[in-house]
Amino acid sequence: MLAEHGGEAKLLAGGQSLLPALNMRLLAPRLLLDLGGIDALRGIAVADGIVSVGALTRHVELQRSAEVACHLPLLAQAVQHIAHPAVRNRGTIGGSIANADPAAEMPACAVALAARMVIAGPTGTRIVAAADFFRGLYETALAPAEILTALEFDAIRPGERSGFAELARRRGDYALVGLAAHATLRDERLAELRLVYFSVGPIPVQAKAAASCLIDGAPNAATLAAAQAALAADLDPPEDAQATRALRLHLARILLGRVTAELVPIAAAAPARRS
Amino acid sequence: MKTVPVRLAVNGVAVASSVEPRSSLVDFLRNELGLTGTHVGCEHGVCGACTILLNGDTVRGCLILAVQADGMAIETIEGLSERGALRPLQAAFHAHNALQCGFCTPGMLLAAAELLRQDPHPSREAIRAYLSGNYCRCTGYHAIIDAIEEAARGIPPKDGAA
Amino acid sequence: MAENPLSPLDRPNSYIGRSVPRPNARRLLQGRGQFTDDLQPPRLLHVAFLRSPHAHAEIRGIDLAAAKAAPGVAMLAIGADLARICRP
Repeated sequence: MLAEHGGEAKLLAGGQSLLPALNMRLLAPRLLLDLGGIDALRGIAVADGIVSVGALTRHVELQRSAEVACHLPLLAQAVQHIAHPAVRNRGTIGGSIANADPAAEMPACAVALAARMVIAGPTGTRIVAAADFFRGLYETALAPAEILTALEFDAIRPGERSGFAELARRRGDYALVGLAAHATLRDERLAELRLVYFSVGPIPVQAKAAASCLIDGAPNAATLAAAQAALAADLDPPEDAQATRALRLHLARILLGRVTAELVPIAAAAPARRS
Repeated sequence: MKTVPVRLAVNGVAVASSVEPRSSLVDFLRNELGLTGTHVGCEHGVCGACTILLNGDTVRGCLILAVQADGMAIETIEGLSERGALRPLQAAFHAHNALQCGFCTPGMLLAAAELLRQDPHPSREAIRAYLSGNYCRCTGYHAIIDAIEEAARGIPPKDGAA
Repeated sequence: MAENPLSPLDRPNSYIGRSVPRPNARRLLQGRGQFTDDLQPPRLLHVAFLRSPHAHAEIRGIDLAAAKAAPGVAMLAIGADLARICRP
Protein backbone atom coordinates (compact mmCIF):
# COMPACT_ATOMS: atom_id res chain seq x y z
CA MET A 1 0.00 0.00 0.00
CA LEU A 2 2.88 2.32 0.80
CA ALA A 3 4.29 1.85 -2.69
CA GLU A 4 0.87 2.59 -4.16
CA HIS A 5 0.31 5.80 -2.28
CA GLY A 6 3.84 7.18 -2.16
CA GLY A 7 4.11 10.50 -0.41
CA GLU A 8 0.40 10.72 0.34
CA ALA A 9 0.57 8.07 3.06
CA LYS A 10 2.12 8.14 6.53
CA LEU A 11 2.79 5.17 8.76
CA LEU A 12 1.19 5.17 12.20
CA ALA A 13 3.06 3.34 14.96
CA GLY A 14 2.68 4.72 18.50
CA GLY A 15 1.43 8.03 17.16
CA GLN A 16 3.11 10.08 19.88
CA SER A 17 5.03 12.18 17.34
CA LEU A 18 2.72 11.81 14.35
CA LEU A 19 -0.51 12.81 16.10
CA PRO A 20 0.95 16.06 17.49
CA ALA A 21 2.07 16.94 13.96
CA LEU A 22 -1.43 16.25 12.64
CA ASN A 23 -3.08 18.16 15.49
CA MET A 24 -0.85 21.17 14.87
CA ARG A 25 -1.60 20.98 11.14
CA LEU A 26 2.08 20.50 10.34
CA LEU A 27 1.20 17.42 8.33
CA ALA A 28 -1.95 16.52 6.39
CA PRO A 29 -1.43 13.10 4.80
CA ARG A 30 -4.25 11.76 2.71
CA LEU A 31 -3.85 8.32 4.20
CA LEU A 32 -2.65 6.84 7.49
CA LEU A 33 -1.48 3.25 7.58
CA ASP A 34 -1.86 1.87 11.07
CA LEU A 35 0.84 -0.69 11.86
CA GLY A 36 -0.74 -1.40 15.24
CA GLY A 37 -2.24 -4.72 14.27
CA ILE A 38 1.01 -6.29 13.06
CA ASP A 39 2.11 -8.46 15.98
CA ALA A 40 5.17 -9.65 14.09
CA LEU A 41 6.68 -6.21 14.69
CA ARG A 42 6.53 -6.64 18.46
CA GLY A 43 8.66 -8.46 20.97
CA ILE A 44 12.15 -8.65 22.37
CA ALA A 45 14.18 -11.76 21.63
CA VAL A 46 17.67 -12.67 22.81
CA ALA A 47 19.74 -15.33 21.04
CA ASP A 48 23.48 -15.90 20.60
CA GLY A 49 24.41 -12.53 22.08
CA ILE A 50 22.07 -10.62 19.76
CA VAL A 51 19.04 -8.77 21.09
CA SER A 52 16.33 -8.28 18.51
CA VAL A 53 13.75 -5.59 19.37
CA GLY A 54 10.59 -5.37 17.28
CA ALA A 55 9.96 -1.90 15.89
CA LEU A 56 6.55 -1.67 17.55
CA THR A 57 7.97 -2.39 21.00
CA ARG A 58 6.62 0.35 23.24
CA HIS A 59 8.97 2.44 25.36
CA VAL A 60 7.21 1.22 28.50
CA GLU A 61 7.96 -2.35 27.43
CA LEU A 62 11.66 -1.46 27.17
CA GLN A 63 11.41 0.01 30.68
CA ARG A 64 9.86 -3.15 32.11
CA SER A 65 11.94 -5.67 30.18
CA ALA A 66 14.37 -7.80 32.16
CA GLU A 67 16.23 -8.59 28.90
CA VAL A 68 16.78 -4.90 28.20
CA ALA A 69 17.87 -4.19 31.77
CA CYS A 70 20.36 -7.04 31.57
CA HIS A 71 21.62 -6.89 27.98
CA LEU A 72 20.98 -3.29 26.84
CA PRO A 73 21.42 -1.11 29.95
CA LEU A 74 21.89 2.01 27.77
CA LEU A 75 18.32 1.70 26.50
CA ALA A 76 17.04 1.14 30.03
CA GLN A 77 18.79 4.36 31.15
CA ALA A 78 17.70 6.42 28.16
CA VAL A 79 14.05 5.40 27.99
CA GLN A 80 13.27 7.02 31.36
CA HIS A 81 14.00 10.41 29.78
CA ILE A 82 11.50 10.00 26.98
CA ALA A 83 8.56 12.38 27.48
CA HIS A 84 6.11 11.24 30.19
CA PRO A 85 4.63 7.95 31.39
CA ALA A 86 1.43 8.19 29.32
CA VAL A 87 3.49 8.89 26.19
CA ARG A 88 5.86 6.01 26.96
CA ASN A 89 2.86 3.71 27.28
CA ARG A 90 2.14 4.21 23.55
CA GLY A 91 5.28 5.45 21.80
CA THR A 92 7.46 2.85 20.09
CA ILE A 93 11.20 2.51 19.58
CA GLY A 94 10.71 1.96 15.85
CA GLY A 95 8.56 5.05 15.58
CA SER A 96 11.16 7.13 17.38
CA ILE A 97 13.97 5.82 15.16
CA ALA A 98 12.04 6.21 11.90
CA ASN A 99 10.85 9.70 12.84
CA ALA A 100 14.46 10.69 13.68
CA ASP A 101 13.67 13.78 15.70
CA PRO A 102 16.97 15.61 16.41
CA ALA A 103 16.14 15.72 20.14
CA ALA A 104 15.11 12.08 20.44
CA GLU A 105 17.01 9.67 22.67
CA MET A 106 16.65 6.40 20.78
CA PRO A 107 18.50 7.39 17.58
CA ALA A 108 21.58 8.41 19.56
CA CYS A 109 21.42 5.17 21.57
CA ALA A 110 21.19 3.16 18.34
CA VAL A 111 24.34 4.84 17.01
CA ALA A 112 26.17 4.46 20.33
CA LEU A 113 25.37 0.74 20.36
CA ALA A 114 26.17 0.27 16.64
CA ALA A 115 22.71 -1.17 16.16
CA ARG A 116 21.49 -2.63 12.90
CA MET A 117 18.16 -1.48 11.43
CA VAL A 118 16.12 -4.25 9.83
CA ILE A 119 14.08 -2.83 6.97
CA ALA A 120 11.40 -4.46 4.87
CA GLY A 121 10.22 -3.20 1.50
CA PRO A 122 8.75 -4.32 -1.79
CA THR A 123 12.15 -5.63 -2.94
CA GLY A 124 12.80 -7.61 0.24
CA THR A 125 14.62 -7.16 3.55
CA ARG A 126 17.85 -5.24 4.09
CA ILE A 127 19.99 -4.17 7.03
CA VAL A 128 21.39 -0.67 7.54
CA ALA A 129 23.94 0.19 10.22
CA ALA A 130 22.79 2.87 12.67
CA ALA A 131 25.74 5.09 11.73
CA ASP A 132 24.44 5.18 8.15
CA PHE A 133 20.73 5.34 8.95
CA PHE A 134 20.27 8.98 9.96
CA ARG A 135 20.72 11.22 6.94
CA GLY A 136 19.30 14.65 7.79
CA LEU A 137 16.54 16.47 9.60
CA TYR A 138 13.74 13.86 9.96
CA GLU A 139 15.42 12.05 7.10
CA THR A 140 16.53 8.43 7.30
CA ALA A 141 17.72 5.70 4.97
CA LEU A 142 14.14 4.42 4.71
CA ALA A 143 12.85 4.57 1.13
CA PRO A 144 9.24 5.71 0.68
CA ALA A 145 7.81 2.20 0.47
CA GLU A 146 9.90 0.70 3.28
CA ILE A 147 9.12 -0.10 6.90
CA LEU A 148 11.52 -0.47 9.81
CA THR A 149 10.64 -3.87 11.24
CA ALA A 150 13.19 -4.39 14.01
CA LEU A 151 16.43 -3.26 15.58
CA GLU A 152 19.30 -5.62 16.28
CA PHE A 153 21.75 -4.93 19.08
CA ASP A 154 24.78 -6.75 20.40
CA ALA A 155 24.11 -7.72 24.00
CA ILE A 156 26.48 -6.01 26.41
CA ARG A 157 29.64 -8.03 27.00
CA PRO A 158 31.89 -8.22 30.09
CA GLY A 159 34.13 -5.16 30.19
CA GLU A 160 31.60 -3.00 28.35
CA ARG A 161 29.87 -0.05 29.96
CA SER A 162 27.26 2.44 28.90
CA GLY A 163 26.40 5.90 30.10
CA PHE A 164 23.60 8.34 29.39
CA ALA A 165 22.81 11.91 30.36
CA GLU A 166 20.41 14.54 29.10
CA LEU A 167 19.64 18.11 30.08
CA ALA A 168 16.21 19.64 29.65
CA ARG A 169 14.52 22.59 31.31
CA ARG A 170 11.76 20.42 32.73
CA ARG A 171 11.55 16.67 33.11
CA GLY A 172 10.15 15.17 29.94
CA ASP A 173 10.92 18.19 27.74
CA TYR A 174 12.85 17.69 24.53
CA ALA A 175 16.55 17.64 25.40
CA LEU A 176 18.65 20.78 25.14
CA VAL A 177 21.65 18.48 24.78
CA GLY A 178 22.00 14.75 25.36
CA LEU A 179 24.77 12.16 25.33
CA ALA A 180 24.63 8.39 24.84
CA ALA A 181 27.94 6.58 25.36
CA HIS A 182 29.23 3.06 25.01
CA ALA A 183 32.70 1.98 26.12
CA THR A 184 34.90 -1.08 26.28
CA LEU A 185 37.26 -1.20 29.23
CA ARG A 186 40.48 -3.13 29.45
CA ASP A 187 42.44 -2.97 32.73
CA GLU A 188 40.34 0.02 33.84
CA ARG A 189 41.32 1.96 30.72
CA LEU A 190 39.00 2.95 27.92
CA ALA A 191 39.94 0.78 24.96
CA GLU A 192 36.98 1.84 22.82
CA LEU A 193 34.60 4.72 23.29
CA ARG A 194 31.62 5.90 21.29
CA LEU A 195 30.25 9.27 22.40
CA VAL A 196 27.04 10.12 20.58
CA TYR A 197 25.44 13.51 21.16
CA PHE A 198 21.87 14.40 20.28
CA SER A 199 20.03 17.69 20.07
CA VAL A 200 23.23 19.26 18.72
CA GLY A 201 22.18 19.24 15.09
CA PRO A 202 19.80 17.51 12.70
CA ILE A 203 21.18 14.00 13.37
CA PRO A 204 23.11 12.29 16.20
CA VAL A 205 26.77 13.29 16.18
CA GLN A 206 29.62 11.04 17.20
CA ALA A 207 32.27 13.06 19.06
CA LYS A 208 35.37 11.31 17.72
CA ALA A 209 37.98 13.95 18.60
CA ALA A 210 36.74 14.05 22.18
CA ALA A 211 36.71 10.26 22.42
CA SER A 212 40.28 10.01 21.13
CA CYS A 213 41.47 12.20 24.03
CA LEU A 214 40.09 9.67 26.49
CA ILE A 215 40.98 6.27 25.09
CA ASP A 216 44.11 4.21 25.65
CA GLY A 217 44.75 5.65 29.05
CA ALA A 218 43.17 6.00 32.44
CA PRO A 219 41.14 9.18 32.16
CA ASN A 220 42.21 11.94 34.49
CA ALA A 221 41.22 15.56 34.97
CA ALA A 222 43.67 16.70 32.27
CA THR A 223 42.55 14.29 29.56
CA LEU A 224 38.91 14.97 30.41
CA ALA A 225 39.55 18.71 30.02
CA ALA A 226 41.25 18.03 26.67
CA ALA A 227 38.27 15.96 25.57
CA GLN A 228 35.86 18.69 26.61
CA ALA A 229 37.87 21.23 24.63
CA ALA A 230 37.92 18.89 21.62
CA LEU A 231 34.12 18.94 21.55
CA ALA A 232 34.34 22.30 19.81
CA ALA A 233 35.83 20.43 16.84
CA ASP A 234 33.28 17.59 16.95
CA LEU A 235 30.10 19.57 17.46
CA ASP A 236 28.53 22.39 15.51
CA PRO A 237 25.34 23.02 17.47
CA PRO A 238 22.61 25.24 16.08
CA GLU A 239 21.44 28.49 17.57
CA ASP A 240 17.71 28.47 18.19
CA ALA A 241 14.95 29.65 20.49
CA GLN A 242 15.82 26.97 23.04
CA ALA A 243 19.54 27.62 23.43
CA THR A 244 22.48 29.47 21.95
CA ARG A 245 25.31 27.62 20.28
CA ALA A 246 27.61 28.51 23.14
CA LEU A 247 25.16 27.17 25.72
CA ARG A 248 24.83 23.86 23.89
CA LEU A 249 28.60 23.48 23.69
CA HIS A 250 28.89 24.33 27.36
CA LEU A 251 26.22 21.76 28.30
CA ALA A 252 27.87 19.21 26.03
CA ARG A 253 31.11 19.61 27.99
CA ILE A 254 29.28 19.16 31.27
CA LEU A 255 27.55 16.01 30.04
CA LEU A 256 30.89 14.61 28.91
CA GLY A 257 32.21 15.01 32.43
CA ARG A 258 29.19 13.31 33.96
CA VAL A 259 29.00 10.43 31.52
CA THR A 260 32.73 9.72 31.57
CA ALA A 261 32.54 9.47 35.35
CA GLU A 262 29.77 6.88 34.90
CA LEU A 263 31.91 4.83 32.56
CA VAL A 264 35.21 4.76 34.38
CA PRO A 265 36.77 6.24 37.52
CA ILE A 266 38.50 9.53 36.72
CA ALA A 267 41.81 10.03 38.49
CA ALA A 268 42.82 13.46 39.72
CA ALA A 269 45.45 15.24 37.56
CA ALA A 270 48.60 13.08 37.41
CA PRO A 271 50.72 14.50 40.27
CA ALA A 272 54.05 14.73 38.38
CA ARG A 273 52.66 17.03 35.73
CA ARG A 274 51.43 19.96 37.81
CA SER A 275 52.47 23.13 35.95
CA MET B 1 -14.99 12.03 4.97
CA LYS B 2 -16.11 8.41 5.08
CA THR B 3 -16.80 7.04 8.53
CA VAL B 4 -15.39 3.82 9.94
CA PRO B 5 -17.19 1.53 12.42
CA VAL B 6 -15.66 1.11 15.86
CA ARG B 7 -16.59 -1.19 18.70
CA LEU B 8 -15.01 -0.68 22.09
CA ALA B 9 -15.72 -0.87 25.81
CA VAL B 10 -15.97 2.45 27.62
CA ASN B 11 -16.18 2.29 31.41
CA GLY B 12 -17.30 -1.32 31.15
CA VAL B 13 -20.09 -0.63 28.67
CA ALA B 14 -19.93 -1.87 25.06
CA VAL B 15 -20.07 0.99 22.58
CA ALA B 16 -20.60 0.74 18.82
CA SER B 17 -20.29 3.80 16.66
CA SER B 18 -19.06 5.23 13.37
CA VAL B 19 -16.26 7.75 13.38
CA GLU B 20 -14.30 9.82 10.93
CA PRO B 21 -10.76 8.38 10.84
CA ARG B 22 -9.36 11.80 11.74
CA SER B 23 -11.28 12.02 15.04
CA SER B 24 -9.20 11.79 18.17
CA LEU B 25 -10.26 9.42 20.94
CA VAL B 26 -10.73 12.27 23.41
CA ASP B 27 -13.02 14.13 21.00
CA PHE B 28 -15.00 10.92 20.50
CA LEU B 29 -15.40 10.38 24.24
CA ARG B 30 -16.38 13.99 24.86
CA ASN B 31 -18.58 14.73 21.87
CA GLU B 32 -20.09 11.36 20.91
CA LEU B 33 -20.40 9.83 24.36
CA GLY B 34 -20.80 13.01 26.42
CA LEU B 35 -17.98 12.01 28.77
CA THR B 36 -16.72 15.52 29.29
CA GLY B 37 -14.71 14.75 32.42
CA THR B 38 -11.67 14.18 30.21
CA HIS B 39 -10.41 17.54 28.98
CA VAL B 40 -8.55 18.85 25.95
CA GLY B 41 -5.66 21.18 26.77
CA CYS B 42 -2.70 21.26 24.43
CA GLU B 43 -3.63 18.64 21.80
CA HIS B 44 -0.01 17.58 21.50
CA GLY B 45 0.54 15.34 24.45
CA VAL B 46 2.31 17.48 27.02
CA CYS B 47 -0.34 18.83 29.39
CA GLY B 48 -2.01 15.61 30.53
CA ALA B 49 -5.56 16.98 30.70
CA CYS B 50 -6.72 14.32 28.22
CA THR B 51 -5.34 11.36 30.19
CA ILE B 52 -7.50 8.23 30.11
CA LEU B 53 -6.88 4.51 30.65
CA LEU B 54 -6.55 2.26 27.61
CA ASN B 55 -6.43 -1.41 28.55
CA GLY B 56 -5.42 -0.30 32.05
CA ASP B 57 -2.56 2.04 31.09
CA THR B 58 -2.61 5.85 31.11
CA VAL B 59 -2.51 7.31 27.62
CA ARG B 60 -3.08 10.65 25.95
CA GLY B 61 -6.58 10.73 24.52
CA CYS B 62 -5.52 13.50 22.17
CA LEU B 63 -2.78 11.37 20.61
CA ILE B 64 -4.91 8.35 19.78
CA LEU B 65 -7.39 8.24 16.92
CA ALA B 66 -10.82 6.91 17.82
CA VAL B 67 -10.40 4.17 15.20
CA GLN B 68 -7.29 2.92 16.99
CA ALA B 69 -9.41 2.18 20.05
CA ASP B 70 -11.38 -0.48 18.19
CA GLY B 71 -11.49 -3.59 20.36
CA MET B 72 -9.96 -1.81 23.35
CA ALA B 73 -11.21 -1.11 26.86
CA ILE B 74 -11.25 2.57 27.83
CA GLU B 75 -11.81 3.98 31.30
CA THR B 76 -12.39 7.64 32.00
CA ILE B 77 -12.58 9.67 35.22
CA GLU B 78 -16.32 9.12 35.29
CA GLY B 79 -16.11 5.34 35.21
CA LEU B 80 -13.19 5.14 37.61
CA SER B 81 -14.99 7.43 40.06
CA GLU B 82 -18.20 5.43 39.88
CA ARG B 83 -16.46 2.16 40.66
CA GLY B 84 -14.58 3.73 43.54
CA ALA B 85 -11.14 3.12 42.08
CA LEU B 86 -9.93 6.60 42.97
CA ARG B 87 -11.61 7.12 46.33
CA PRO B 88 -8.48 7.44 48.53
CA LEU B 89 -6.84 9.83 46.06
CA GLN B 90 -10.01 11.89 45.64
CA ALA B 91 -10.41 12.17 49.42
CA ALA B 92 -6.77 13.21 49.81
CA PHE B 93 -7.02 15.78 47.00
CA HIS B 94 -10.14 17.19 48.63
CA ALA B 95 -8.62 17.39 52.09
CA HIS B 96 -5.42 19.02 50.81
CA ASN B 97 -7.23 21.40 48.44
CA ALA B 98 -5.18 19.96 45.60
CA LEU B 99 -7.41 21.54 42.98
CA GLN B 100 -8.83 24.96 42.21
CA CYS B 101 -10.48 25.12 38.81
CA GLY B 102 -10.41 21.34 38.44
CA PHE B 103 -9.38 21.24 34.77
CA CYS B 104 -6.18 19.24 35.33
CA THR B 105 -7.64 17.14 38.12
CA PRO B 106 -8.94 14.08 36.26
CA GLY B 107 -5.58 13.70 34.54
CA MET B 108 -3.72 14.17 37.82
CA LEU B 109 -5.84 11.51 39.52
CA LEU B 110 -5.29 8.96 36.76
CA ALA B 111 -1.54 9.57 36.66
CA ALA B 112 -1.30 9.41 40.46
CA ALA B 113 -3.31 6.19 40.55
CA GLU B 114 -0.98 4.57 38.03
CA LEU B 115 2.05 5.69 40.02
CA LEU B 116 0.68 4.24 43.26
CA ARG B 117 -0.13 0.95 41.53
CA GLN B 118 3.52 0.69 40.50
CA ASP B 119 5.14 2.27 43.54
CA PRO B 120 2.89 2.32 46.62
CA HIS B 121 5.32 4.46 48.65
CA PRO B 122 6.89 6.96 46.27
CA SER B 123 9.19 9.73 47.41
CA ARG B 124 8.19 13.32 46.65
CA GLU B 125 10.81 13.26 43.90
CA ALA B 126 9.27 10.14 42.40
CA ILE B 127 5.81 11.73 42.56
CA ARG B 128 7.10 14.84 40.79
CA ALA B 129 8.74 12.69 38.14
CA TYR B 130 5.62 10.65 37.45
CA LEU B 131 3.31 13.67 37.41
CA SER B 132 5.68 15.69 35.21
CA GLY B 133 3.34 15.15 32.29
CA ASN B 134 0.37 16.76 34.04
CA TYR B 135 0.30 20.53 34.08
CA CYS B 136 -1.63 22.59 36.63
CA ARG B 137 -1.98 26.33 36.19
CA CYS B 138 -3.77 26.98 39.47
CA THR B 139 -2.33 25.26 42.50
CA GLY B 140 1.44 25.43 42.17
CA TYR B 141 1.58 21.64 42.59
CA HIS B 142 2.62 21.38 46.26
CA ALA B 143 -0.86 20.50 47.47
CA ILE B 144 -1.12 17.86 44.74
CA ILE B 145 2.15 16.24 45.83
CA ASP B 146 0.98 16.41 49.47
CA ALA B 147 -2.31 14.76 48.53
CA ILE B 148 -0.63 11.93 46.67
CA GLU B 149 1.76 11.35 49.59
CA GLU B 150 -1.26 11.25 51.88
CA ALA B 151 -3.07 8.75 49.71
CA ALA B 152 0.07 6.64 49.64
CA ARG B 153 0.15 6.60 53.41
CA GLY B 154 -3.37 5.21 53.32
CA ILE B 155 -4.52 7.31 56.21
CA PRO B 156 -7.20 9.95 55.63
CA PRO B 157 -6.35 13.31 57.30
CA LYS B 158 -8.23 14.45 60.44
CA ASP B 159 -11.09 16.93 60.03
CA GLY B 160 -10.00 20.56 60.10
CA ALA B 161 -6.35 19.74 59.44
CA ALA B 162 -4.55 22.66 57.71
CA MET C 1 0.57 39.06 70.06
CA ALA C 2 -2.67 39.32 72.11
CA GLU C 3 -4.44 36.02 72.56
CA ASN C 4 -7.71 35.67 70.68
CA PRO C 5 -10.42 36.37 73.31
CA LEU C 6 -12.89 34.19 71.41
CA SER C 7 -12.60 30.40 71.52
CA PRO C 8 -14.27 27.86 69.23
CA LEU C 9 -16.90 27.50 71.95
CA ASP C 10 -17.92 31.14 71.39
CA ARG C 11 -18.12 30.76 67.61
CA PRO C 12 -18.95 27.08 67.06
CA ASN C 13 -20.26 27.56 63.53
CA SER C 14 -17.65 29.95 62.26
CA TYR C 15 -15.33 29.08 59.37
CA ILE C 16 -12.74 31.47 60.75
CA GLY C 17 -9.60 29.66 61.83
CA ARG C 18 -10.73 26.37 60.32
CA SER C 19 -9.72 24.60 57.12
CA VAL C 20 -12.88 24.23 55.08
CA PRO C 21 -13.02 21.74 52.22
CA ARG C 22 -14.84 23.10 49.17
CA PRO C 23 -18.25 21.50 48.62
CA ASN C 24 -18.04 21.63 44.83
CA ALA C 25 -14.58 20.10 44.75
CA ARG C 26 -16.18 16.68 45.00
CA ARG C 27 -17.88 17.22 41.64
CA LEU C 28 -14.67 18.42 40.03
CA LEU C 29 -12.79 15.41 41.42
CA GLN C 30 -15.25 13.10 39.65
CA GLY C 31 -14.92 14.82 36.28
CA ARG C 32 -18.37 16.39 36.56
CA GLY C 33 -17.25 19.98 36.12
CA GLN C 34 -18.89 22.12 33.48
CA PHE C 35 -16.20 23.92 31.55
CA THR C 36 -17.19 26.02 28.57
CA ASP C 37 -16.23 23.38 26.01
CA ASP C 38 -18.24 20.78 27.95
CA LEU C 39 -21.51 22.61 27.33
CA GLN C 40 -23.53 21.46 24.30
CA PRO C 41 -26.71 23.50 24.19
CA PRO C 42 -29.16 22.74 21.35
CA ARG C 43 -28.44 24.44 18.01
CA LEU C 44 -24.90 25.21 19.09
CA LEU C 45 -22.87 26.78 16.29
CA HIS C 46 -19.11 26.42 15.98
CA VAL C 47 -16.80 29.08 14.60
CA ALA C 48 -13.65 28.41 12.63
CA PHE C 49 -11.13 31.08 11.72
CA LEU C 50 -9.27 30.95 8.43
CA ARG C 51 -5.94 32.66 8.97
CA SER C 52 -3.64 34.01 6.30
CA PRO C 53 -1.10 31.47 5.08
CA HIS C 54 1.21 34.37 4.20
CA ALA C 55 3.26 36.37 6.69
CA HIS C 56 2.92 39.57 4.68
CA ALA C 57 0.55 39.92 1.76
CA GLU C 58 -2.09 42.06 0.12
CA ILE C 59 -5.64 40.72 -0.02
CA ARG C 60 -6.78 41.19 -3.60
CA GLY C 61 -10.14 39.51 -3.11
CA ILE C 62 -12.01 36.92 -1.07
CA ASP C 63 -14.18 34.38 -2.91
CA LEU C 64 -16.88 33.09 -0.56
CA ALA C 65 -18.85 31.06 -3.09
CA ALA C 66 -17.53 27.62 -2.16
CA ALA C 67 -17.72 28.33 1.57
CA LYS C 68 -21.32 29.56 1.26
CA ALA C 69 -22.27 26.38 -0.57
CA ALA C 70 -20.67 24.07 2.02
CA PRO C 71 -23.26 22.10 4.03
CA GLY C 72 -24.04 23.32 7.54
CA VAL C 73 -22.58 26.81 7.10
CA ALA C 74 -24.75 29.27 9.03
CA MET C 75 -22.78 32.44 8.51
CA LEU C 76 -19.61 33.79 6.95
CA ALA C 77 -17.88 36.98 8.01
CA ILE C 78 -14.89 38.76 6.56
CA GLY C 79 -13.14 41.92 7.72
CA ALA C 80 -15.62 44.19 6.01
CA ASP C 81 -18.54 42.56 7.86
CA LEU C 82 -16.83 42.95 11.23
CA ALA C 83 -15.84 46.52 10.48
CA ARG C 84 -19.53 47.40 10.39
CA ILE C 85 -20.01 46.44 14.04
CA CYS C 86 -16.69 46.95 15.78
CA ARG C 87 -13.41 48.78 15.62
CA PRO C 88 -10.10 46.84 15.70
